[in-house]
Amino acid sequence: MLKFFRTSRPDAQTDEQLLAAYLKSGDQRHLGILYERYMPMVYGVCLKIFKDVGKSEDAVMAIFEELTRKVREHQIESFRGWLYVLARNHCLMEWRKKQRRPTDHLAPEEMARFDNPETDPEFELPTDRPALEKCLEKLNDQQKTCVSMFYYDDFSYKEISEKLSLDLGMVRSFIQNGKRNLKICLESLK
Amino acid sequence: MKNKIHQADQNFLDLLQRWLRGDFRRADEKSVQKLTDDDDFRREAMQGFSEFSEVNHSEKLAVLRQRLAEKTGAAPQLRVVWMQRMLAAAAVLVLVLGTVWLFQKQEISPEKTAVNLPQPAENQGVGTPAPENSDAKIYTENSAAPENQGSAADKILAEKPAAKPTISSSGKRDEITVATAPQSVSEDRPTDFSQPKMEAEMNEIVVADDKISPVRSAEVAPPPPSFEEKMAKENAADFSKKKMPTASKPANPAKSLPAGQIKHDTDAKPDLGKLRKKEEIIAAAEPIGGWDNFNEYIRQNARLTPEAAKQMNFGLVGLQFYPTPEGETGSIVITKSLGFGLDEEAKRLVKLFDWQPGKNNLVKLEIRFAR
Repeated sequence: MLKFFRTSRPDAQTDEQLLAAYLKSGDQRHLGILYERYMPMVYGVCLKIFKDVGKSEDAVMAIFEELTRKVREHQIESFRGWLYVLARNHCLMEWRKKQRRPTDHLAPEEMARFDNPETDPEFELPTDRPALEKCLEKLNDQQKTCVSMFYYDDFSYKEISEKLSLDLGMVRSFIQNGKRNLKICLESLK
Repeated sequence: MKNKIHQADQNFLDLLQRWLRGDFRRADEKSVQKLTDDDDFRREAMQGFSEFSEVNHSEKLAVLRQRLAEKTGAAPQLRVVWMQRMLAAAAVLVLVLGTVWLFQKQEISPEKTAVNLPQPAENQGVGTPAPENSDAKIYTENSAAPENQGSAADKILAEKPAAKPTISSSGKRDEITVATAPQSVSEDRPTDFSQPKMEAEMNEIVVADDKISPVRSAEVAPPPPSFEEKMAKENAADFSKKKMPTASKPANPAKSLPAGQIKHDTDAKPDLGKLRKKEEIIAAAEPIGGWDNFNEYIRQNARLTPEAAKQMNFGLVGLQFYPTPEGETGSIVITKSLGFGLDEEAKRLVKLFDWQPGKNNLVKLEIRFAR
């Protein structure tokens, strides 16, 4: 009974406590709780590398398998950092495996693609209003509407999707792409 | 320091959730920017999500959580343990209370044990014999069935020996039927929770786990009732009608019953409901009508479009979705695209089917298109 109550509130434990509990008992539930904390982030990293939803989903599960195998072999100081490296390496390995046959000679470029990710500079609406207006005009209608609603009128994604009766995912995508196009346009003007 | 990192991740995950839900404003974007700037893990994760901003990732993450829980056995196991504990506690409580109550009564008036049997049933709110009836019972049972007293005294939990004598006594039939009903109920109660019966219950649950429908387990149960039914028929033809429901109540709650037993059946019904629900949760999601049926339907209907047929002899479209409780497909994600409008055609074909959601609720399919 006591054990039951103890296992029922593992959310309060830190990563390291959970990891220690797993190493001691071998109970996969501890590791599961720990992994679940970072699962969205692992999934995001997989998405970035694979650029494929289905593969990323499978990879998230495969990484957990790898985790259960490797967690005992290493002395882990920071679980979070270690998981990041593990997840990233796993995805890169898988990705290369699939790419090797047709594009073997491209290996160095692949490395460059992932090892120098272009940093996403903070996007601020520039004070140069005329330039901005000019670039906004260049966007397509949907991107223009969504971007200006988000940045000028301070609506949330959901509110925009309701007002324009657009799918939420579409709104996210319009803002994302509109933002990118704006940035490119503004840089070219400078 | 460690705590601080953890807090930042937490903030990031909260913001990510809002981004996925759409509850996301300009100010949130700034926070995300700040959080992703100083950490590679968060930045890459956010970049990954941004590349697929049109996909509903919340659903995908929910499915992944489910898969993870299945793999580690986290959620379901805890629930089963919890239920088992509850059941065991309830069984012990009822057993202890029942034995204490019966032994007390036995010490006070040993010749009236037969009378005591219906009374615990009253206390448990199961049988509802009117007070005049219980008076009648005292006479009939004491006079007609002396063995009954013995069997009840040395083992109250024995079901059938106690039931038989009352049937064979055909002196005052009307009162007897009233008496047997609550009596067998009162005897069923403790046995329900006594150790061997509980094991039997567990077995039933295991059977349900193995995807054998509770209906089948109900089919297994009837033999004792039919036996008793025969006994009753030998004694009195009209009697069998009233005897049936009391004997078969755990298996067949649908029969019409005297007022006293209806209450008990409402007790029995939730049990069946629980089993059925359990089975529903445990089964993997599948098309209503079965996979064979679905495959045949795909074989018949998945045809390459003329443009596609110029390029290939056959092609596969991979897709996945999770059936909704209403039996619909929800949103379908194409995992392997073929083009030529075949992705849409695959979606359309799958949507035409009704789907039974399951515990393992992810349906992954490859639809094969042929000429």
